Amino acid sequence: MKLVVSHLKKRFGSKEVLKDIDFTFQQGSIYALLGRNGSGKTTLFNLIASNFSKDAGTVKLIEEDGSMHDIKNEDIFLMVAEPILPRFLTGYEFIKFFVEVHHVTNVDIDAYFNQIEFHPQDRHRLIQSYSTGMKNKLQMIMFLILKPKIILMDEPLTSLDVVIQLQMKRIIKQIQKDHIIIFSTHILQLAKDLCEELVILNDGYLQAIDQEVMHTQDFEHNIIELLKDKEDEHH
Amino acid sequence: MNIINLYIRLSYIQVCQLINAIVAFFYNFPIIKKMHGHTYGFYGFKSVVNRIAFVGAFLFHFFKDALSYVVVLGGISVGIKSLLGLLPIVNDLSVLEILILLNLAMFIFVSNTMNNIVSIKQLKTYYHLPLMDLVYIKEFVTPFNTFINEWIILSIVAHFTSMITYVQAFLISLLFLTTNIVCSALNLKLHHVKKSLGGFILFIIFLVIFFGLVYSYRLWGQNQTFVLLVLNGMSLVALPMAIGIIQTYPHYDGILEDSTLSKYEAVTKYRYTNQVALKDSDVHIKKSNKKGYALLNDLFFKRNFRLLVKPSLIKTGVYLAITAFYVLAMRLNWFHFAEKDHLYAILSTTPIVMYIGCNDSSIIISMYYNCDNSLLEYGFYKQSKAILEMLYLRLWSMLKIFLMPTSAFLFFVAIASKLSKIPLDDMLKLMASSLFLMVFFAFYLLLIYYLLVPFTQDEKIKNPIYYIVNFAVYMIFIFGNKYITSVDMLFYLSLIVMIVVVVFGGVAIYYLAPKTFRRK
Repeated sequence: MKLVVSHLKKRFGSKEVLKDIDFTFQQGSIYALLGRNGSGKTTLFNLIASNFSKDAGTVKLIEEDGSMHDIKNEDIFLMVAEPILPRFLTGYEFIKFFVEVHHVTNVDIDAYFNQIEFHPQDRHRLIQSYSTGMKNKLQMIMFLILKPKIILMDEPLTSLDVVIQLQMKRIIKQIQKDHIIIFSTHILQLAKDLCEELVILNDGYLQAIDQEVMHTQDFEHNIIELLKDKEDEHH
Repeated sequence: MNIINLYIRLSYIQVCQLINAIVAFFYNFPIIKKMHGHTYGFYGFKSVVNRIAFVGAFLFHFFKDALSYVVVLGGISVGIKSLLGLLPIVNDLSVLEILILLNLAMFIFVSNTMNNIVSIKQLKTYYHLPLMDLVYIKEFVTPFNTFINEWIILSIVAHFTSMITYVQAFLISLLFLTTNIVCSALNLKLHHVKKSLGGFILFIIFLVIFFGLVYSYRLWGQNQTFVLLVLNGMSLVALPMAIGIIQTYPHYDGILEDSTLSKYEAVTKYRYTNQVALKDSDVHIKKSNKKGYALLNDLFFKRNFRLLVKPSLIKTGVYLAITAFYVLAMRLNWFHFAEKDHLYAILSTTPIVMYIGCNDSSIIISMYYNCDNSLLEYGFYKQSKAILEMLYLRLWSMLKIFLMPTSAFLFFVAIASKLSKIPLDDMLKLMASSLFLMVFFAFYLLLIYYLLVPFTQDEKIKNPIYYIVNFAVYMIFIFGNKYITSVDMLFYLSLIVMIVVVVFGGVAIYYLAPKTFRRK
């Protein structure tokens, strides 16, 4: 299974955010999408998830049998850094609602809560009182239940404490073989720890980084230079 | 601090601001703009609408407040005439005269009818001053606003009627200004003595002022200007004492600060999320056995009960109280209308009553900030099928809420028909029309919500078309009643309007909402 992004372009007013994104993401790998603030990482995710209209280009999914089609709603899940969830529901009720509207049968909701170590009492509290970490855990349950082919994570670990970060990393590792996972971050160490592939979004273009670079001692320095150089050229 | 000097300085600022705002508006008249270089071009439609939306919003709030005032005070005037008609001091006055006097008396207590939020935002846009400063200035300027508004309104009354002259209009306005300050001082003094008694004593003062005005009005027939001069003189004598109280009151700055802060919060962020924030008591042991979207909708309406249902319960209570009063008035023969006048009165007020009872925008504010703002993050919630399913679930829930004030009104119609011998078929048509209008308003609110999504994440109503549509509907329902001359006309019009909105609105939502219904 592959996610094929071809000649994707997006402009907001006079600013050309994505100039020509041309890349293929493979199933089974976790991709770290690196980029500076404002480089267009979230825009790219929203274009792939069809939340924004594209100025040009296509986003297709190639199945294991070789058939190619547009991305359907159930194929993709976009996990955002600071989710806004319906605050009048409890976490349990929200997941129940999510399961029912997606017609997923034979789901043991409590088992999923247990899997991500969500305290039983908290499940029945209002989302209004949840921390960002708890909301992120709910998002994880959502994609664990839905099992979408593509999981996009927009800086999901940035605002979480180390314990929850570790839990989430473990779960992402567990499910990676069945999905195409793209993980945007600007924390280099996190990218190195969690991801097999590294892509850089800079100046409106997406560029793969050689895997050998990830394992060198001056990895961080090289990436920073790479981002800096592009920025300097831009100016 | 010399408060008079401060008022004069601030009123000067206000007048300058007003003039500058007018100049700025015409300078930026939103038709032609300077393009790059030296060429000129036309603004796009959206740009034009956005620029004039502010003026529209301002006018909308002004008219809405003023008219709501007249409608509410009109009801109270009829009540006063009926209840106090036996008193010689009131008996000679017509309902219209009571309405005008009541309106004038009320202005002393109500700071101004204009929407503070809109005008503060306007000042911020034009003058780039810190928001807190503007709100603070606004708080000081309020009595002068009242004075200017009253002067304008009374001058209009003087122009079109022979009730008062221009000189009297000025004297009355001046009286309001000074009385306003005196009342503020008394309020402070009472607040200082015993907080809980403040409201009650102010109500007594209001009654005294009202009867003072009634008494003065009756004297105007002999020498109106003289009475006004005397009243102004009395008020001016009390003014130094009032200013003394204000100046020496130890907590005055605190009160002003509180008031300023609340206004500041109203014009900045979290205006709506605060307004629709849930309390723990809202969600106490409320469960639902429903599934999917029905579960979401059920829990939303149950847990937002306080925000969504209570306004309708209050309106229901008011309608029932009016019904009880009507029955009492009929039994005691307080009304001296012909029977056909009863029918006409009910006929002409039905659209307004239904507008007040069912056009509740707080429901769609709650829908957006407590529910859809979050779920629109996810693609499944924006699909046509999901939108349509939620639309009809919500419509049904809203109809159940609106049925409360509507039932109270239907009860009133039934009672009124019985007591004033309105024919049965007319009564049934009036009832049916009310139900059609109830459906219309529920669907109308959802239609503009799904197609225009008038709210933004930063909690500012952004969509100018929302203002225009709302204003148009308001004008139709408030002023359109005089064109409705028969029960049949109301029946068929409300039926057609309901069918058109439900059928075309439903189709429009199905095809357009997947594109329009999104976070902004």
